[in-house]
Formats: sequence, structure tokens, C-alpha cells
Amino acid sequence: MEILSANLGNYPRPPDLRKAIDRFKRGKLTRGELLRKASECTVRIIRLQEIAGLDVITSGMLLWDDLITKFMEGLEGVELNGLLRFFDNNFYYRVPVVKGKLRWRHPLLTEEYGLAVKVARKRVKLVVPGPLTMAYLCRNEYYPKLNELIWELGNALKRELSYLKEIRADYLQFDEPILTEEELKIEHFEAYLEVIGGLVKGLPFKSIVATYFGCLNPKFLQALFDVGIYMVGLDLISCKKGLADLSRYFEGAKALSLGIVDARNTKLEDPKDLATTLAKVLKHIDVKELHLTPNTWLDYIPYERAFLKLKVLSEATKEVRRYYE
Amino acid sequence: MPTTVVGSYPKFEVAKEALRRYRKGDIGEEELDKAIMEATKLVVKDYLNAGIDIISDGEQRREDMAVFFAERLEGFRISGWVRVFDNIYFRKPVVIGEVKFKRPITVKDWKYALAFSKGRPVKGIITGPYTMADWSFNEYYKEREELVIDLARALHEEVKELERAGAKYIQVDEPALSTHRERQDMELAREALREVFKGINAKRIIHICYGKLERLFPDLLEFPVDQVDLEMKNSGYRLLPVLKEYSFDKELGLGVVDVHTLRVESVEEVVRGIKMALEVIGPEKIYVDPDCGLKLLPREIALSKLKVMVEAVRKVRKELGSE
Ligand SMILES: [Zn+2]
Repeated sequence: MEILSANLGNYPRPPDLRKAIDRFKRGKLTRGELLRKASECTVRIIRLQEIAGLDVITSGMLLWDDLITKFMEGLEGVELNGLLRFFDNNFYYRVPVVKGKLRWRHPLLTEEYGLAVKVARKRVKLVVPGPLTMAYLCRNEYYPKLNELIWELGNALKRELSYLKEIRADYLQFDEPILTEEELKIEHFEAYLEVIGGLVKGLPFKSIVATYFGCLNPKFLQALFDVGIYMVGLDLISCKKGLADLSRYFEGAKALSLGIVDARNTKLEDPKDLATTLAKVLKHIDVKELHLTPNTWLDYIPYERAFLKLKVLSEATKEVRRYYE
Repeated sequence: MPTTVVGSYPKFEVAKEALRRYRKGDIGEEELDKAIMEATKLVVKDYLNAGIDIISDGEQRREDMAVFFAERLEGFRISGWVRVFDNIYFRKPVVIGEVKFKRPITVKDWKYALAFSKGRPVKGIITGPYTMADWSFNEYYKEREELVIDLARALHEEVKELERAGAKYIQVDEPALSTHRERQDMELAREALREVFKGINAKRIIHICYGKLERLFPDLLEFPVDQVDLEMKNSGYRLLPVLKEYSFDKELGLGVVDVHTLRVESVEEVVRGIKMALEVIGPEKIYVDPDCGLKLLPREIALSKLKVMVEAVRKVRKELGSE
């Protein structure tokens, strides 16, 4: 079993980039200047993840305002309107209102992700918002059925992926926090399985579906593997079921990504404690590849704290490896 | 059917400027107090001008509803910047020790408002223990439950101070409850409120807004409060059938104007909203107010919305024969 430490999603925006964005919004910086600044910060954030000791890094997604806006605002047929709380966080996202037929217009992520792959010295994971979560977070005023919206979002992602696949990254992750919501309807999940299965077919990446903020239904886990997802991510912090309880989940799992460091609290875990707890779970896990990650994006803690959290993660991962070997 | 407000009012320049200078150390507490009193006077003037029956102090001193209390309780420090949305960041409280009450937090400003209110009651308003815990980083308590209960005990002291000062209405803001995920959270919030309101005779109010409010039922009915104040306009009053389904029998704070749009509602629109509520609940149990605090609106818009709200209430009262 290969055990790697990996970032799950973004990295908090560095203070100098926050300032640059404010200046851009006030018209004191051109778009080109802002993008140059963002690229410079992206390189720095990639280095920080590497120095923290991560085996798998992300671009940091520094210009993303939240999980979905970056992608949704590029689509025709969508207007962004108002703010809503993002799951159980004191964090808000722009609500996409679907007013017409969705049309993907041009690549939205290739530049940022191309840069990440170019400068990274470690394996790179690309992150995209999952179609099911996007559909649930939209206010749908156009499609008669939510399933149609899920399909259309899948189509838009497919267009994006046709460009992304030229990038030589190792992993492609779809973020689907909605999969932990009790209110998720089974008919939508079924439609989603078809969509996501279609999306990952033939892609040159190892595919991941990441879930967080709650527990994933074990049936869903199996279903995701069945349609060809390589790895599924679980949030072991927010899901309050005991680890021993969770180990039942893992039967039949191929590759897993486990969120073991709390990215929603500044308190630093003890790497040794983490490793000891995990060692017990590892007995029940027999997968090809295991990623250990923060339980969600690093957006919820201050910039200064993110690095320390990733260090805890990489140290814990090294300990776990030692146990396992 | 009295009219009231949820709490915050747009900040007047005199308060903004004083807070800025106070933070920089240019002025002391005394000068800050003077400016806050000045600003509170302006707030109350607007309330009276609009015709609000039960007012607030407008929260001119509060920059953030969680940080404000955290800075004044024992056991907290304030963290680095954390994102709320887009490129907007705020400093989040961090619990680093046992949470304890130090000295009165809101009473001073409450008294300022009372002094200008010409006899109208002023609501005492605090941020609730569940929300304080939810919006803080917990680096000290092993279990979140312990943190929430300690917060409740500390805030209970504040509520006692408000009651001692003469507050007849005390409102606990719990916006974080609208995103709770598990039923145990509702139980925890209920127990915490029991602590907060222990032995309190003033009218006990809870305000909750923005989120999946229908998930609060039926547990909310068991909360130790006299009044539940809910955002309704923004969500198109879709909560009313839920209230009916569960035979809601507490007083209802009915949010009838949206605080996130610059468009001022028409009187007719507000009248329609109130009438929808009247089909579910008697007029003697309804308190009409905006969906939430008004702090994000420009002052002129906030004032116009309040005026429309009061006019609508008067119209309905007349039709009911009570004015
Ligand atoms: Zn509110």
C-alpha cells in the first residue's frame, strides 16, 4: 500500500494577494497585473506545500472565491446572485441562478493548472467542483428536473476536461461535499453516477471523488468505485462515527483519501497521536493507494496556520508509513 | 401586533470614525463612549421617526457579532484573518482557556438607547452560546458541548445585568443554528439557552436566520423562549406552513422586509406578508420586524424599509379594528 500525504483543496489566500485583489477591484491594478501577482503567489504556495512535506500538492486555487464560482461564472445561462451559507460553515458562496440553457464557453482552469504542473516538484492534483454539488447549490429556474441540470453540468465539465487532459497532472479530484447530506435524493445520486462515470472514462488521471463535512453512506462509496472512480475521499473529522465503526466502510475500497487533520480548527494535532489512531484503522484497510489529507479545504483557517497544519499532516503520514512497514 | 427590529442598524460615521481611532490608540475609552452615544442617539431618532415600538441600540459599537463578545469575555484571543466570502475576511475568535464573564458587555449602549427612547422599550441583544462556539476556533475544550455550556453560563451573567438594568425584552441571536447538521445540536442549543435564561423574567427571544430553517422543527418548539424571531421575507414565507403543521404556539417575530436587497418593499407587499402569517397565528402573538439586522444597508434604505413596515402594520391593525 502506498501511503501519501496530500492537500485536499485550496490554500488560504496570502495577505499580499488579498491586497492585490482589493486594489484590482478598486481599479488600481489591471487584470494583467493581478494575474501576474496570482501566478507569483501560486508558485510560492506550491513551494510551501512542498516544504511542509506533502507528497501531493494542489495549485492552491488562490483566485477561487469558493468551490463553484470559478467554474459557474464561465458558463452561459448562469447569473450569480446573492450569498448563501456553504454547508454548515460561517462561509458564504455566490448562488448561481440558472436562467437558461447552460453553455460552456472557454477553458477556465487550464492556465492555472498548467502553471502548477510546470513548477511543481511533487505530484499534482487538479480539483474541479463536482456536478452534483454544483447542481444542488444552484437555484434552478430553467430545467424542469434537477437531473437535467446535473447532466448539463456534466457536459460543461466534459468540455473543460477535454482541455485539462493535456496537462500532465497525476490526479483529478471532483469535490462532492453534497454526498454527505442527508437531504440528497437517491434519484439524483443515480443520475450523478452515470454522469461521473462518463466523465472519468478515458481520462489520463487517477480520479478522486472527495466528500467532506459529514459521513458518506457506505453504499455510495461502493457505487462510486463501481462506475470507475479510482479513489474516494472521506472526512474522518466531521463524520463523528468512530474510526473502528468506519472501517466497515472500507471493505471493497480500492484507493482511499482520508481527511485526518481538522482544517476547520486552528488547534494543531499531535502527529504521533494521529498516527497511533490511524494505525488501528489501517489493519482494516487493504487498498492500493492511501492519501492522508486535511478534512477539507484550508479556507477555514488563517493563512499562517495552514502551513503548520500541513506539516502536522506530513509528519503524521511519515509515522503511519513507519507503522505500516 | 408591535413593530420591532432585530438589532443592528447601519453604522453612523461618528461611530465608524471613533472605532477606527480607538483601534489605532488615538482615542481612549471615554471618547469612544461619547461617539457611540452620539451614534446611538441618531439610531434611536430614526427608529422613533419610523414609528418602531420596541427598539434596539443599533449595535454601533459592535464590529462583528462574535468578535465583539469574544473580546470582552475571558478565555478568548482573536485569530488571524479568515475568509467569509469572496475577498472578505474577518478575524475569528479562538478559545484558549476557560470561558468566563468579566464585566457587562452590552449594558452601557443599551442604557444610551433607553435614555433617548422616550419611554419605548429597548431590547437587550446578545450573540448566543451556540453561535459563539460555532464561529470560534476551539483550542481549549475537549468537547464542544463543554464550551457551549460555559459560554451559556458566561452569557447568563450578561443577561442578568441587562435585566437588572431594566430590560423587558432579551434576545439571543443564534444564526449558526440555521446550519446545524445533527439533532444533537438542537438539544445542545436548547440546554445552553436554558442556562442563559435561567431565572430571567424578561421576555425571552431567540433570533435565527438564513439557512434551512425548516430543519429547526419540531425541536425549536421545546426551546425555553417566549418568542422565536425568524427571517421570512427572504425565503418567501415558505416557513409558515411548517409553523402551522407543528401548531406553533410561541410568539413569532415575523421578518417582513429583506435586509439584503436595496429595493424597498411596497406597503402592499408587506401587508400581504403579514396577512399570510395571520392565517397561521393570531395577531396578539405576532411581532413584526425586518428579516435580520439592518447593518449592511445604506441608512436611507434601512429607514425607508422601517417606515414601510410600520405603515403596513398600521394598515393591518386598522383592518383588524385594533387601531
Ligand atoms: Zn439574523
